[in-house]
Amino acid sequence: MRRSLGRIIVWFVIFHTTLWGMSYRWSVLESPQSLRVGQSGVIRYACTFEGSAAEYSTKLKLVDTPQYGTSVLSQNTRVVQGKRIDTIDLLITPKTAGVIEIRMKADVRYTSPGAVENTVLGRDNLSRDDISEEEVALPGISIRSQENSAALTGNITMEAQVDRTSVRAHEPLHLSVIIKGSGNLEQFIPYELNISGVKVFSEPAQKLFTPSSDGVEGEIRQEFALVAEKSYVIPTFKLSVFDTAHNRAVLLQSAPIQVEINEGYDPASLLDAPDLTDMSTLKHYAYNIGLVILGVIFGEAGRVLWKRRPRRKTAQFWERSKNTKELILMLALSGDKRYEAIITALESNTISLSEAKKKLSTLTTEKEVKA
Amino acid sequence: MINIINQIRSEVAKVVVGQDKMIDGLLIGLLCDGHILIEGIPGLAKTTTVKALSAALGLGFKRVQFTPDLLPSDILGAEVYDPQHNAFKIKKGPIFTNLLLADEINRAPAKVQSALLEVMQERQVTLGDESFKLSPPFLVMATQNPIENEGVYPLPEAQLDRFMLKITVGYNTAEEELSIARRIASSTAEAITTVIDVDTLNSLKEKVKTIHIDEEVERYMITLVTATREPEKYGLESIKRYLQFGASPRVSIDMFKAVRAVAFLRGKEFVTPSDIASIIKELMRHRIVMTYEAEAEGIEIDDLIEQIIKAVPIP
Repeated sequence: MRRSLGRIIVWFVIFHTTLWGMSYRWSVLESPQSLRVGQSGVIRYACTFEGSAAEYSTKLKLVDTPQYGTSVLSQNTRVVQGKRIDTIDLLITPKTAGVIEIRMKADVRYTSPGAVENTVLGRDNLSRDDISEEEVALPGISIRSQENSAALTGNITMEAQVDRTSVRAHEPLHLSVIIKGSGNLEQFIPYELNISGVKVFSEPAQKLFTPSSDGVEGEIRQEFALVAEKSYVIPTFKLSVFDTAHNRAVLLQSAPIQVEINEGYDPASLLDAPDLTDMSTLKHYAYNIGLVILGVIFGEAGRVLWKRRPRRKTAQFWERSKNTKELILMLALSGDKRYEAIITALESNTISLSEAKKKLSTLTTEKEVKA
Repeated sequence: MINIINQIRSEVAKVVVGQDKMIDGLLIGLLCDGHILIEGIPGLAKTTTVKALSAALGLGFKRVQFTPDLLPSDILGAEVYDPQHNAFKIKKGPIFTNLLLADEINRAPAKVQSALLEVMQERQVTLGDESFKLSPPFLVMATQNPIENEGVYPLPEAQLDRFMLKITVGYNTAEEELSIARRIASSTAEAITTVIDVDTLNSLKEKVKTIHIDEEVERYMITLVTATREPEKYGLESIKRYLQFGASPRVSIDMFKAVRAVAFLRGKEFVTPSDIASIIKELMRHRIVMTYEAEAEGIEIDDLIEQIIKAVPIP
């Protein structure tokens, strides 16, 4: 691409419009003359108002045609000598070869002070009349688009890395294909890797981009895990790129990587066969079996002993009585007819407190025991 | 005299197993002319016991099942037109009896409850222009089911106060239940014999009135009632917040009567604190109003009464 950096095309085309009492003018500050298919270039539009134009906003209407695609790279607003200037950098990417006529449009929106006040105060009675919008045609631009057969366009590098070149059989080897730079990286089609006798596990390509004047800038990383029983060669990865820095097509390719597979682990070789003729081995077995048997015996013995443990006698409500009167009261409150004989005996002083308690302890019915 | 009581008990025991507390409560009500409220879940022989008691006493017995559509005239009676004589005549209701079982009293609306409770107090019914005295003895035994909340009209505190005792009926013991099941399965229930008449009952009532209460015991009873109103004076600050209203003076009046009957049923000539302790819960549990706080904390009124009686010094 030949960028006309030295030649600032000043389009004072004159779209001198008077809108809602404020004049503004659209112009093209910068534009590429020619691009390759798939190569992105920046067109810089400016909208200059007569005053500070705080109530105005501008928005470019993006288009996507069979000939080209557009996206906004950046937009900023500044006020110079009391005049507001909106600058919009539009990224344009041709899709076909030939002369491309670009006819962009923009919306200029005017918001009345009343509408601004309503919004600030949180009112919801905003009427349609408070906002006025006008579509404006921007100055036309012609760009020559040239043929490009490369998969990607831009300033791009590619490399393939492995974590090691020698692994054991069935041990995974990790391969990373990394594509870096700026350009139309989003057009990258992930590789499909097939190697005879090798199991290939691949992950979706990871893409990390930020917008740039070339399209996007960043990195694509594609990870593979390779498992094999025998040695193999990782083939060359190829990527055709139109190098915008040198204005020529190049073929990026990685070097083939030889992977050596060493003998793997044999499960049987990891265990020592027990030597049953060795007394110490037999003793060890007997010791472990004995431990298990003893555990079962102790466990069962503990369970039986726990079941037969001497249990504390449940406290009965009348045991808390300290004197005869209190005992009589407690027994009477219980309302159990069985206690009447003891109450009568206590009231007539024919038995003592301890004798009464002794008699009570012999009465064992479900009614008598209270927690 | 105690022999007669024992005979009544043994007659009732022919059809009712256990439930001694309920039978004693009914006898106390009869001896003191006090009405009884029995609370318990269905199937605990409440109706059977009352029927058996009326048969043993040779008294008139009527039963009214309280329902939401019951009218006062269904209980009291009404003036009905007699076309033969071209005049109105009085048709007496089931209230004209000696023992009236008001089954599930809390199922009837307030107007029916009021009509009944008024008669309980006045012992007199007015139908049209005529007033009729109910022939003594007149005892109402009302039952209510505590487990239902829907479609019931709980008795207000003022009306509950007219019941001398509130007896809560619990389950029988396992042995008692076995005996009941065997008896019902073999259909071996014996017929109940009438063992006393109205005159004998009146003489028993007179005898009860002669039971002596020592002044110290009298004061003890009054102190117990007072303690429900001012528990903090007896070191019961902790339960003060659970009591909204203490026992009414009717409790003192009924207690003086009931403890005599308790002592009489035990074959004694005088009242002791144990007689009071054995009946105090039945006397007070429906007459003390607990606070919402107590209800929220699941405090039982019987526990509060126990705490009160344990806190008051025994004479």
